Amino acid sequence: MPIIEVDGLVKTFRTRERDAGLAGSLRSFVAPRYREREAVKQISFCLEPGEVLAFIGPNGAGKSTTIKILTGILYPNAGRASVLGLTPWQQRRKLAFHIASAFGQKSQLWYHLPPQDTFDLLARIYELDMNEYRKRRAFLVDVFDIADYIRTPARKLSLGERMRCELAAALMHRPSVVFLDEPTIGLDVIAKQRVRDLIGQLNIEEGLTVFLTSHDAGDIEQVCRRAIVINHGEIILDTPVARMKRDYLKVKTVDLLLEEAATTLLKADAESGKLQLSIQSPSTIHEEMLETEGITVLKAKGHGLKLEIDTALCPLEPIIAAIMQHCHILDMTIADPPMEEIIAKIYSEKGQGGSIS
Amino acid sequence: MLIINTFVRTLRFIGAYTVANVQAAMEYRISFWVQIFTMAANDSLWLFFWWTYFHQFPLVHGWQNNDIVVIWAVTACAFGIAMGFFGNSPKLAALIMNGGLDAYLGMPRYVLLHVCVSASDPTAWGDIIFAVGAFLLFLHPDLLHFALYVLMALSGALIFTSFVVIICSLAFFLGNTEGLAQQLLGTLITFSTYPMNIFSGTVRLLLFTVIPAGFISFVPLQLLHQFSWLLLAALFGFTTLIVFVAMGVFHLGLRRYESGNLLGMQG
Amino acid sequence: MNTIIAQPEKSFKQNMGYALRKYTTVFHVSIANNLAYMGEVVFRTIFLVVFVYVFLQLWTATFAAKGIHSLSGFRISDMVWYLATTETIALSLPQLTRLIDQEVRSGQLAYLLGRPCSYVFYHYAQYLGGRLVRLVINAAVAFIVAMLFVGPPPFSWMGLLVWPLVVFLAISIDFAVYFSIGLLAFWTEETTPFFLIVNRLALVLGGVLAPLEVLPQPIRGLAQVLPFSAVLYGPARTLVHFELDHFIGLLVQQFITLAIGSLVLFVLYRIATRRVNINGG
Repeated sequence: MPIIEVDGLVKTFRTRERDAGLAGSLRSFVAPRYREREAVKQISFCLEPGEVLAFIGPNGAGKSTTIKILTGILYPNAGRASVLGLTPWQQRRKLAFHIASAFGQKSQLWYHLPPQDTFDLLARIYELDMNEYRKRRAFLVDVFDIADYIRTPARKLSLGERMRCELAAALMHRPSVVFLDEPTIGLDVIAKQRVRDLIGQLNIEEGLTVFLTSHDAGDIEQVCRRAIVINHGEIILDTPVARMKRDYLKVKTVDLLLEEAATTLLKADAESGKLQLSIQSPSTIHEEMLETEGITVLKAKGHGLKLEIDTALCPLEPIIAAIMQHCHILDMTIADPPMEEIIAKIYSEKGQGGSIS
Repeated sequence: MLIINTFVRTLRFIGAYTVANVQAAMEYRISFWVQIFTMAANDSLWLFFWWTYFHQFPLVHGWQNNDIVVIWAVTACAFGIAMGFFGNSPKLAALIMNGGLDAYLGMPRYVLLHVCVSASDPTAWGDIIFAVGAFLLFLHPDLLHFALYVLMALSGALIFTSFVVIICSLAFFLGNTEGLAQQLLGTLITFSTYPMNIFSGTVRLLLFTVIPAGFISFVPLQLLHQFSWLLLAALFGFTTLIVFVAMGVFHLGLRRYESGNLLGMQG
Repeated sequence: MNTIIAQPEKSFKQNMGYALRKYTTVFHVSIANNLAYMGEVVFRTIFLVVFVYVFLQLWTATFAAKGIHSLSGFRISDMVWYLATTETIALSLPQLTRLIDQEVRSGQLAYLLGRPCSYVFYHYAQYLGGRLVRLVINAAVAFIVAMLFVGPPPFSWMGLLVWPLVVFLAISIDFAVYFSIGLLAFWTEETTPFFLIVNRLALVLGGVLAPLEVLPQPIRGLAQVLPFSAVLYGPARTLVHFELDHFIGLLVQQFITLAIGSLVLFVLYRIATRRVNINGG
């Protein structure tokens, strides 16, 4: 039995167009002109209990509109949706007892109070039985490892500590579905990892269904098992993350600052004239040149070298080792391709209006 | 039975939030007490000014000397209760404009009430302390009159809150009405703290309808002078009416908000 | 010593010239900015209108009850024009304390200190721009309302002539006071209570409702001693009931108050900036 069912959901925004100035205002009052914007055009999908879904799309793709419809904040123009068997915009308050949403940028914790007090308040809001609540609180404090912070005013906590308390707050009332919007934004690497691990843990232990939106590839890779990509109001990809990784996330960009000029590592390809990496393979007995299939030189200027490496074809480490053998690396950055790039790639490959699962 | 149950749950809800609000304010202990003290002192100063004034220049038409104390005590207490327990109501317009209402929509509680109790102004407690103090000091009421006073302060608080909610809810339709709400609230307070006698007939009509200062201070004043069931019923009737109007306007606006077609707002 | 940036020696006059131009620009920008939000400012005049109306009724009823035509030399029309004037000034106060408080807390102050212009004067120019716009709009509305209610104003030519000066001094005093309170953000968690105390006292004891002569005794004595009257009562009375010796007395009071206020401001500012340098904002 799917926990979330969406069928043919349509949402069109109709706003009144208003010209500037007094004349414009009068005109719009007398003879209004409307502008329609199709934010969501017929999307359908199902989510089973216990799934961890990544809901991906660039800004303005219809992500937040879809989530707002699923949480009952907006009502659609057409189509059906059901969350836990309830129609969100009709039974919003009833649904609210069983779902939770946490936004990375907006805080549910009271700024001046210790998280403990926010938890107590939430217990009252959600009308939790006090004994159950205390047990639940103890459990979450333990899982999120926030025992040291819950009595400190929220404003004094670091972002990572606060995010863990936020998540604990969101989960205090045992929701079945949790909508997370950018939960790791602004966090350092270690904090991000912790948050991801916690979400994963709760999913396994409690069967929590997670609906995650994020621009962070790491969030998607590590936490989610299924991904839906939405763009221009339509679903263009609905696939397990493993497959998505295989197809799209395997490329890494490596940005290097070298001690020598970058050109010393490069050689123009005889056929295409494009610059290619041309160095010795690391620690081989014979003097072999490094296999450069899957390595593209994006930029070579002065001491800076930017490479795009297809990790499916060749792993990172030998390449770095080879470069290190050749000259000192002063600075190095390894980055995932930005989500927009992945989406753009997915979109361009899927063409207009296609939807694949 | 269900009504009583809902009533109790609502009171517990308001109580929980008030406690949280006070706790948050007490994080800055000195500031908290200074604010309360200043407000009480400020109110007392103004009241003293007016009390002396009306002693020097008594008005005719049945205006007694202590009447100014009564209308100040009732108005200040009503305002204090409104801003102490429902102190977030003036921020409703801003919440509507910046989408902050979404967070409340995701909560399992009645949205309007939830918005109103989410914040509190600590100076409101100063108003209440002043009001009750002044009332007790100047009028030496018996228990019955004091109970009546509290009842009327509560109804006044509901009128204040509903008034603010109505104007702020217009933001669903007209755009940012935050400044307007502040101005009109100030107007309402002003009209509530001056003797009705000085105003002409047309203005008095206004003061019993659109700017309900009449129901906040004038009617209570009459009731404390001379109790009448009819007048009390009129007061409660009006209070109920304005609360329903506030809820109605808010809900109409909320429907619009949920369509996402709000002025200038995009999904 | 050779510095990397060759800097021609600027004369004192040149420096002053640059500074002046800098601040007048800020002033102009502030005006333009505030004019953009004129709708907001006009809204605020609703309260002004209501207040003047209520008091007109009050004075009328009072005077009728006592059977008098004037009080300490003030007729009803004088009182109304007086109130219109004080409210024009009082309601034109921009959110200065809150602005400084926020800038201190957000670290914006430390950032702005790095800019090549005085933090204080920058804000002064900005404040003047904002206040001026509000003053003009308030004055226009107040003038129309008072005119409609009680007829033409009792202003004298001398009063009108010196009014810009006394108002300028009054709003400068306000600046010194409210800016200083904002700086307290370095030491207290909330400056709002202090702002409220000072603002409310300034209203009551500054004679916003009625000229000090009319106020009942204990308050009148207190108000006459304190400097609050330099901001509201002083300028209003000068306009409505000009008297030379009173005017001179007011100027003296304003200069002294402004001097003390400025001194407090700069001392606080000095301590505050030193704190920034030590703590890094």
